[in-house]
Amino acid sequence: MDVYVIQQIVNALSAGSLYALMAVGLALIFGILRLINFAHGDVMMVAAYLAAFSLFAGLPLPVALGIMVGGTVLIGLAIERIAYRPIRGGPEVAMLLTSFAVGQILQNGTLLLTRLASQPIQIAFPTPDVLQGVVAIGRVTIPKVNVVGFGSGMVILVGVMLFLTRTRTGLSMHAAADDLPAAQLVGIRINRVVAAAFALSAALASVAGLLYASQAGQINPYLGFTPVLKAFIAAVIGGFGSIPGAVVGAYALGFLEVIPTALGGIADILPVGAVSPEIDDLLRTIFPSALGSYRDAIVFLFLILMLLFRPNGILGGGAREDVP
Amino acid sequence: MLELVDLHVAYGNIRALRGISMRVESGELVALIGSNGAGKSTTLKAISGLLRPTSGRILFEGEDISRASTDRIVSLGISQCPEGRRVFARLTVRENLLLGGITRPMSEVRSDLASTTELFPRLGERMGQVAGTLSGGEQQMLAIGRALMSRPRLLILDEPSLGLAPLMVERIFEVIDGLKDRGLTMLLVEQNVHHALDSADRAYVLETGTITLEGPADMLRHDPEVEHSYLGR
Amino acid sequence: MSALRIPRRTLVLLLAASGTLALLQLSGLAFWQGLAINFAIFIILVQALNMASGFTGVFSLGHIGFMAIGAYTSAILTLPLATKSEYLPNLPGWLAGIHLDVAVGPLPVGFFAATLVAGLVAMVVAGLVGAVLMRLSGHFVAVATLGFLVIVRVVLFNADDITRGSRTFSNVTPYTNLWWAWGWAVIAIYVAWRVKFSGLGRAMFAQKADRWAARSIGISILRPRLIAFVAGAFLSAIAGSLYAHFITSFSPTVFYFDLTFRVITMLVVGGMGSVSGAVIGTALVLALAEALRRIEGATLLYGLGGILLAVFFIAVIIFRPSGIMGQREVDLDRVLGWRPRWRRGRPDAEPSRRG
Ligand SMILES: Nc1ncnc2c1ncn2[C@@H]1O[C@H](COP(=O)(O)OP(=O)(O)OP(=O)(O)O)[C@@H](O)[C@H]1O
Ligand SMILES: [Mg+2]
Repeated sequence: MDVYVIQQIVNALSAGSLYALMAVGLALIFGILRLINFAHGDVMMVAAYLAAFSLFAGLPLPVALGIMVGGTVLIGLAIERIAYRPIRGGPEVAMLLTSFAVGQILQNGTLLLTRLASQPIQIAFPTPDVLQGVVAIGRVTIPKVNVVGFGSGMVILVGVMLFLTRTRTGLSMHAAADDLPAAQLVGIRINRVVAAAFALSAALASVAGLLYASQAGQINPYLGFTPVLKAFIAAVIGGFGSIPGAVVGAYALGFLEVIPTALGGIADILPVGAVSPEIDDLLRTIFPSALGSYRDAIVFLFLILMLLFRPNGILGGGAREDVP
Repeated sequence: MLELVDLHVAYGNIRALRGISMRVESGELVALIGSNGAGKSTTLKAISGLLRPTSGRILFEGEDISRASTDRIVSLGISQCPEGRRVFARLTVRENLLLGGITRPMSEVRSDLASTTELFPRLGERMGQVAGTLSGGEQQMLAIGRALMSRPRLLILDEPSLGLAPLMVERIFEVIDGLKDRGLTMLLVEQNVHHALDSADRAYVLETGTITLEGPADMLRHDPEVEHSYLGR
Repeated sequence: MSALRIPRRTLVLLLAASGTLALLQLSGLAFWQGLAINFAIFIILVQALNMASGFTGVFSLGHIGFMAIGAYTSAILTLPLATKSEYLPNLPGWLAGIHLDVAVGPLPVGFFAATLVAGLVAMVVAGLVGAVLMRLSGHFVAVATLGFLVIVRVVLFNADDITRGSRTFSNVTPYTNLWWAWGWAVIAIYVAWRVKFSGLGRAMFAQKADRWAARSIGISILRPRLIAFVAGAFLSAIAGSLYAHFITSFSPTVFYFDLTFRVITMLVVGGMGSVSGAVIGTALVLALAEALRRIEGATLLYGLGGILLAVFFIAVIIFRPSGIMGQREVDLDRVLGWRPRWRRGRPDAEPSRRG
């Protein structure tokens, strides 16, 4: 039982780190441009492919990771320059739709390239050794990728926070998010700041891509869709546009997600005879083992409720229109 | 120092400026007055490069800056303190001031922090406070302080006294007079025409996108038209 | 004059369309027949989204979820009893007994009834979901409706007893033909047109143009939005039913983001808020997609079509953000060469705004 609980907590923390890496990128760009960058999930997917192909090519891990981060950053910058800059400041929905189109381009482009490389659509990810296997602490065994994911996520996020609050570029991002014209008037180079935000968010997404692919063991061109939606939910939980909020929201989401899975299996893991048959029956009715498979539905229901009742997040940006 | 030549600016079909010409000489304080919607802010935005004129020229020390980017214009020495204060609400006072000097090397900016807080002691006491929680008057001080951090040669102020209590208005004009005494060139847009004409050397009156009157501030103060429309006498 | 002209124009158009369909039917060209049915189904989907989003400015990404609801509802309802007990043995009792597979003469009225029921079910769901979601603003509504799409998908995948879960749902009776598809498409176009130029339509456009102004002249915001959302859900479900009985086997994966994006592309290219634009956009994108599909097939460059379509879409958003038609409509009289000397009471370019 306690082993089970600890494992679930580690799962939650590890998922939280992954969502946080993604959600910070979304929040960063939303804050400055009011753009919900749905292509962010596909940027993460591209990172996984860059890593996979570099490793397939037999490059040493550090080089492969360098290519992964560098390549993803370049793609993030290219997207901003080519697709988003021409419609910057345009209607929010136009920007959102453009990001969908960008996502389609990345997905289909990846599909095209894997086909040209005569690879199947779904390929096994060559998970690096450091992320393979399990860590055993007493009776608890935890997949290494979860431990490394949580740890590296935390370190990177702390670094990002320091960057955003201690450097002039970081502060410029805040300023641009607070008030774009005023930021221009003090002489902040908006194009540079936006590019920096895209570069940073792409770099974060690339780490998320590596972790995601190592956890899943397999990659396909469509893998970015669910993570970006989850990251969006995380950002909403934290108050959209707020970066610390996105981090808190991501870990909250990580825990929220394990609840259906954990409760769904609760009756199965109780030792036989621990509770009376009536309670066991009750538990199985309220928390059927299938509850876990409804996880995404439950999480999205939560998103909708959040948008309605706590549009400013659990910490304190806004969604609800005051309609009569 | 600054010269606008037959400047036209439009928002889509709306022609906000219909060929205005004006100049600000070095060391002068020039006031631009006019009723709501006359095009004062539009003029200032065009000077700072936030808006692109449809035709006409903006010369700063002889160089045409009408197509230059805002950051370049700031680097050249024009700093604008926008209408409605617009401080970075979620950043601290210190961070706001640091960002004001973004076009200059960090070391110089740090040493300038002291001279700005000397000018605005109230800000010095509140360096760590989040700007959004400052009072209206303090935010206006911060906005001016932030604009000064780029060490401008021309400071543009858009309605700095807007929405402030009388005592605070006095304080703002004291600051403006102080800056003028130090030789800073300024272009001032004000609803508070009385005060503006007291401080200014020269003034322009803007009405629906055209300059209708110009001259020394003393003269405009006694112009019947100005007295009637703007001074309420 | 105008009272006489409209029926004549409509009549001639309908006759011409029927004639074309009859010719196509007789020709036996299976590919073109299939394409025509696809065209009709997409027209319904695009008009549905046009009402829900184009008229109101409230961007819905969830309407393919209603299509899924329509497809599954109608497919289950029309299964003959014998097939049903074998194919879906765990269906709840009340559902297991229904079999709308009856026909009167050559007319499959059961299919018609099932399609209507599918539409009604989607309307009820849309009413509940919309009452909550239509309160959200701007792009948040888009993401929340996307959340709805995900929820529908998860439920379809997990409600094994009713939907067969992730397994393909086949054995659907192939009722959909040119006539059914185009019959409904004409209805969808007609409904969208009537709504656009009604008081309700003006309210939809007014709150899209300016929420605050609309409210200050007494136009409610929630009501027109909700009605548009629900009407769009109904039409999407009809399209779902037609699709189910056309393709005859499908799985939950079909009703997801790719299809959503395809329908959005058609609408945006045509012009959000234009009824005739929706038809033009549908035709254009469908033709483009079909051509690209063939190029992909010939060159084996799978993915190229998707890339080019998305590039095309971005180009439209950058260079012609209001699409081909904007909110205007094709002037049929001009196209058909009927140019009366003076026109009265014709709906004009944009629905006139009240107040
Ligand atoms: N973004 C905009 N889009 C369209 N029209 C605008 C825009 N901004 C200003 N205008 C119009 O341009 C004209 C001039 O506006 P401007 O803000 O320059 O006036 P102002 O003199 O600064 O007025 P105030 O004293 O109220 O600040 C006004 O008629 C205004 O409605
Ligand atoms: Mg103004």
